[in-house]
Amino acid sequence: MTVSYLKMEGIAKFFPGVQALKDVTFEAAKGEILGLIGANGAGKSTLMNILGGNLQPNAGRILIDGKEVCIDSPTAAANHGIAFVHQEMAMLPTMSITDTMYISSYPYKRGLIDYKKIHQNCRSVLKRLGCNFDPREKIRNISPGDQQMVEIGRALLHNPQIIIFDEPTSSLTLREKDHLFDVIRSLKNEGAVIIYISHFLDEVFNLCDRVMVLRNGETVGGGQLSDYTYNDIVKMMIGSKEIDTYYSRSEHSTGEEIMRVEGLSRTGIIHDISFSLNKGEVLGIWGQLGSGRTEVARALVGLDPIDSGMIFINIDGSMTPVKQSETKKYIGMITENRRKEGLLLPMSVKNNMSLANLPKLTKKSIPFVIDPKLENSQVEKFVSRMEIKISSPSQRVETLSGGNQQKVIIGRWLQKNPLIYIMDEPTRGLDVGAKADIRRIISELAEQGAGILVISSEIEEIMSISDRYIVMKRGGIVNEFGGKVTREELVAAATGALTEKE
Amino acid sequence: MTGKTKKNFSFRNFLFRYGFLFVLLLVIVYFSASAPSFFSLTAAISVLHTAAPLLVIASGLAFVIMTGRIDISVGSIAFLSSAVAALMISRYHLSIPLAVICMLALSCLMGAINGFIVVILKVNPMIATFGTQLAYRGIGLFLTNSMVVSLPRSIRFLGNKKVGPIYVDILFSLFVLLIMFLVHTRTQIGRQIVAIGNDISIAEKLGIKEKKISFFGYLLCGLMAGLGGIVMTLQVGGVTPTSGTGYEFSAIAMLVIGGISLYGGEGSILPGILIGGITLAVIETGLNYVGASVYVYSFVRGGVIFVSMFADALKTQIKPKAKIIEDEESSTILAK
Amino acid sequence: MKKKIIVTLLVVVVISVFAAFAPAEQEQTVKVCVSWNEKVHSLIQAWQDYMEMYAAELEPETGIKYEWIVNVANGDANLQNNNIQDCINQEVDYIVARAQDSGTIGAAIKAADAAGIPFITFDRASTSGEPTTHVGEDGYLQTRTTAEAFAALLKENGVEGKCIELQGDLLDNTAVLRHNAWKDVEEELGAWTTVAEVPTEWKAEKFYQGALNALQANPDANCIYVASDFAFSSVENALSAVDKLAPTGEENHVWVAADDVNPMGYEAMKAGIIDLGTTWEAYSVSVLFVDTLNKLVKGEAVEKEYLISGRLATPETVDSLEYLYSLDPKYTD
Repeated sequence: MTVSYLKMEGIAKFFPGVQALKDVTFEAAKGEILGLIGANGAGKSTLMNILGGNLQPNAGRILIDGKEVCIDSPTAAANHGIAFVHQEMAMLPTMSITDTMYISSYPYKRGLIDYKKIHQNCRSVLKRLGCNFDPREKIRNISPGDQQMVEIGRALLHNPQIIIFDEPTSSLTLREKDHLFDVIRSLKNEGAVIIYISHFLDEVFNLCDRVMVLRNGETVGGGQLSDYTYNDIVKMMIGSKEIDTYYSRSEHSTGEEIMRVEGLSRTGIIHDISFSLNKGEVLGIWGQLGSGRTEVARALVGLDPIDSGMIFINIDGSMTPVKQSETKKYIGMITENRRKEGLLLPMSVKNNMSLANLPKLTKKSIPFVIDPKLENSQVEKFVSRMEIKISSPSQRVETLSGGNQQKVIIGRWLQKNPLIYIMDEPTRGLDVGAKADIRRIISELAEQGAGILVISSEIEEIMSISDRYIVMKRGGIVNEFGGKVTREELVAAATGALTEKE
Repeated sequence: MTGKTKKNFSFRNFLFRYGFLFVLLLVIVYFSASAPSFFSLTAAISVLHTAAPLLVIASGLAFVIMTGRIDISVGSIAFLSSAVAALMISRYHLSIPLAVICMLALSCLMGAINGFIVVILKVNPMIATFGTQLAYRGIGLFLTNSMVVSLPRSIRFLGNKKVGPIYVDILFSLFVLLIMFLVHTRTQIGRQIVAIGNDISIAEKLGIKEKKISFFGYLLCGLMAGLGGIVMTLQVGGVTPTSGTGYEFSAIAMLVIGGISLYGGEGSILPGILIGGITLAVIETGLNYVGASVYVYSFVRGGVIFVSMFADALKTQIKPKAKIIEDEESSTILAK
Repeated sequence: MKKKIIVTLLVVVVISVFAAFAPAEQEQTVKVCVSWNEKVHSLIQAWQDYMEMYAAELEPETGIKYEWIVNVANGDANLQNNNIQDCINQEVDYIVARAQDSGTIGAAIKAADAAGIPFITFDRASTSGEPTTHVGEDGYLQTRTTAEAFAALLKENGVEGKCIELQGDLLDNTAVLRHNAWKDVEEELGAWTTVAEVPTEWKAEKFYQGALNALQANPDANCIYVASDFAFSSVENALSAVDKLAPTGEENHVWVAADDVNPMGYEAMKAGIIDLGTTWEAYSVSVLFVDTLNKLVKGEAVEKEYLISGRLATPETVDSLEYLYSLDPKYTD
C-alpha cells in the first residue's frame, strides 16, 4: 500500500438537529482515485466541504503530507493544494473562458490585468485537459461538456495535489463522460490525489481504484474496488434495506394487448416507430441520449406533433385508434423534470396530489365544492400506499426530497388510474433508497394490470424492471429483446455494434 | 460539425452587435441628404460635443447596469452636485478647485447612498433610485431656491473651449471613456461586475464579494454623474432647476443602443457607449440641422428607445438557445 | 350646589367676553391655494413674493387676510392636478394655478368647480376648461411688441434678417403664443426670415445645443429670437462657440431679441448682447391678481380675463423701468 498523502481523522460535524458526520476517518494516497459513495444525505458532500474549506468540522483533524493543517476557508484549501470541482458548474456565460477561470484571482501587470499571461496559462491548462479551444471564446458558445473541462481547468490552475470531483458527469453526454474519465486518469498518473464522489456505481467501478462508502455520516466500508462486487457496495450503501428489491426483476404475467403503435414518424426526429404493449407488462425503451427515446414518449402523449402513424389503445376490450391529442386520457406520464412538468413547489402535498383529480372529489350534495373529508382520505390512502415520507399532508412540496416529490407525482396519477404509464427517467437524480421505492411501485402497478413504458439511461435500472425491451438508435427501433437479454446485447444494440456484425 | 454551428451563432451575434451601426449609417445618410451642411467636420464635432456630458454619465451608469441593476437618479445627481458647486462658486465665492472637489465628493456620496439602499438594504433598484432621484432634485431645488444659478463670466465659457477645432469636453469625455474601458476590461473589479451581471449566486460562489463590488458600481456611477454634471454645467454656463432631467433615460438609451444589456453581464464601454452616444446625438443634432418640427423630436426619441429596448429583449430571448450536440461517436465507451 | 352655580357663572362670563371681542376682529381669513407648475426661474418666486407683499399692504384697508397655501409640481402636469385636488380636499376658498400643461389643467378646474371653489388661472391660460377668471400677461402681445421693435431695429441698421427661433416648450400656451406672434410679425413686416426653429422644452441644455447646431447649420444667420432669456448663458455659450458673441456695434454681432428680461437676460442686455426684449411682468401681474382676488372675495363681478402686456426694454431703457423684478437683488443671485 502506498503512503497516504491526505488523512482526515475523526471528523465530526453537527448541524442543528442533525449529526451529519460522526467520527469519519479516511486516507488517500497520491496517484490513486478514491471513490466516495453513499446515498443522498450520507455525508459525502459535508465531508468534502470540510476538506474544501467551506465548512468547519466540530471535531477531528486533517493531515496533509503528515502535517496537521487548518482549513478555514476555500482560499486556505487552495493554498494547501486542494481543488474542488463542484457538481453545479459555476459558469459565466457572457465572459471568456479565461475570465471564468480567473475571475477572483487575476494577476496584474502595470496596474492592469495581465491577459497575455493568463490566456497563455489558460491555453496550457486546457491543452492538458485535451481541449484545443481559444481561451478567449465565450462560455455560452461552448458545450456543457467543454464547460465541465473549464470547471476542471479552474481547479487545476494552482497545481493542486488533491482534487475533489463532486458528481461531475451529471450534465455530460457519454462521449464527454468518456473524455472526462481519461482526463481524471491522466491527472492521477501525474500524481494527484483524486477523490471522486458519485452515486453511479458503474462510473465508480470504471474509474476508481479504491472506494469508501458512507452511510448516515459514518464510514461503513471501503477498500480496493477489485475486492467488491456491485452488490457488496449497494448493500453497504443502503444497509438494512432489502437488497432483493433493488436489483431483482420481478416476474409479471402479461395479459392482452393494451396499446399498439404503428409507424409513428416525425421528420428528422423519429421514424417508423411500431411496437405493442401488453397489460401487466413493463416495456423498457433503451437507447443513448439523443436516440429519440424521449421524443417517442413525448409524441405518444401529444407533447410533440407527429407527421404520420397511428396509436391504438384498448378501450373496453377493443383496440381503438386514438387521436394523438386524446391519448392523455389513458396515459400517465412521469418524467425526470419533476419541477417543470407538474409539481407546484410552494403548494402542499395534498393540493398537489388532488389537483388533477378535483372533479372526483366534489361533494355529492353541492356541486363544485370540494369535500375535504374525501380529499383527505384519498390523499392519506395514497401517501401510505406510496410510503411518501411527509410530516403532514399540508407540508410544502418544495421541502421534500426528490424521491418523495416523484412519489407525489405518481400518486397523483394513481388517483386517475390510467391504463398505461410512461416513465421517462423516473429515478434520475434520486438516491438509491428512493430508486428502489420507485421500482417497487412500478412493479406493483404492472402487477395490478397497467402497461408501463420505462425509459432510462441507466442500464442496470432498466434491466432490473423490464419484461421486454425495444432498443432505439437515431430515431428508429433497431432491436427488440425478450426478458433474457444480457447487458452486453443491449449495449451492443444501442451503440450499433450488433448491426455492424451482421 | 461544431464549426458550422459556430458560424451561425456568430452571424447572429454580429447582427445584434452591429445592427445599430447600420441604423446609424442610414440616419447619417438621411440627414446629410436633407441638410448638406450636416455632412461636415463641424457637425461631427458638434455631435460629439452634444453627447459629451451624457457619455460621461453613461460610462458610470454602465457599471450599474452591467450588474443587472439600474440607477435612474443620475440626472438628479448631476443636478444636485453641480448646483452645489455653482452655489459655492458664484454665491459664496469659494475657490473653484475646492468647489469641484466638494462636488465630486458629494456625487460619490449620493452614489454610495444609492448603493447602500440597493445593495445592503436590498430595495428594488428601480424603486430605490426613483426615490433618490426625487430626493436629490428636491434638495437641489431647496438649496437653489428653484432659481437659475449662473456661473461667473470668468469660467462660463470653459464649456466651449476648443483645442484646434475640437472642444475640450469631447477630449475629456473620450478620456473618461478610455479609463472606464480599461476599468471594465482590464481590472478585477470591472470583470467581477460583469460576473455579477451573469448571475449573482454564481459570482458569490466564485469568491466574488458581490456586495462590495456592486456597491462600488453605484459609487462609480455617482462619481461619473458628478463629472458629467461638470461638463453639462460648463456647456450651459449655469445650473437651472431642470438641469439633468431626462438624462437617466437618455443615458440608458445610449447604453442599450450600444449593446449593453439591461439584463446585465453584457456589453462594452468601447465602442458600445460611443456608438450609442453618437447615435442618439446624431439624431438630436440632425433634427436641429434639418429644422424638424418640434413634434417630431419626441416621436423619434421614443422610437429609438423602444427599438433599442426591444432589440435587447430579443437578444436575451435568443440567448438560452444552447447548442445541441449530437452524440455521434459515442459508441466507443459503450462498446467496451 | 353652590359649586355648580359658580361654574355656570364662570362659563357664562367667559362666553360673553369672547362674544364681546369677536365682532371687533372684523378681519376675514381667506385661504388661497397657489399651485405653481414648477419653480424654474426666479420669476415665479417674485410673483409669489409680490402677491403676498401687495396683499399684506392692502390688508388694513380691505380687512381681508390671506392665508397662502403654496405647492409646486416640479414640471409634472399630473402632479399639479393632484396638488390642486389636495387643495380642494383641504377646502380652500380660492385656487390659483400656473398650468404646466394648458391642455390638462381643465380637469383640475372642473374638480374645483364641482366643489364650488373659484379657480383663477395665472400667467398661462387654460385651453381645456373655463376658469372663473384668468390673470396674466399676454404672451402674444408681449412678443408682438418685441418683434415689431426688432423689425424696426433691423431695418434701421439695414439688416436683412435671417433668424434662428429658439422656441419654448410648445406644451405651454405662452410659448405657443410667442411663437405665433413671431411668425405673424415675420409675415406682416418681412423684416426677416426664420431659417431654423429650435424646440428647447425650456431646458438650458437644449438652448445651448440647439442654438449651437442651428448656428453651425446656418452660418449666414444674423439674428436670433429667444423665447425666454431665463437661461441666456447657454445662448451666450453657443454664440461664443461659433465666435459670434459680440456686443452691438461690433462686426460679428448677432442681433438678439430675447423676451422676459430675467436676471440673466438683464445682464446680457446691459452687456449689449441682447438688443431688445419685452419684460415679463412680475409685480404688476401680481398686483392685478390680488386686485382681482379682492373683487372675488367681496363678491363683485369679474371679467373673463385680465391681461397686461409687458414693456419694451432696450439696453438704454432697461434701468429706467420701475418694479422690474430682475433688478431686485433678491432675485438676481
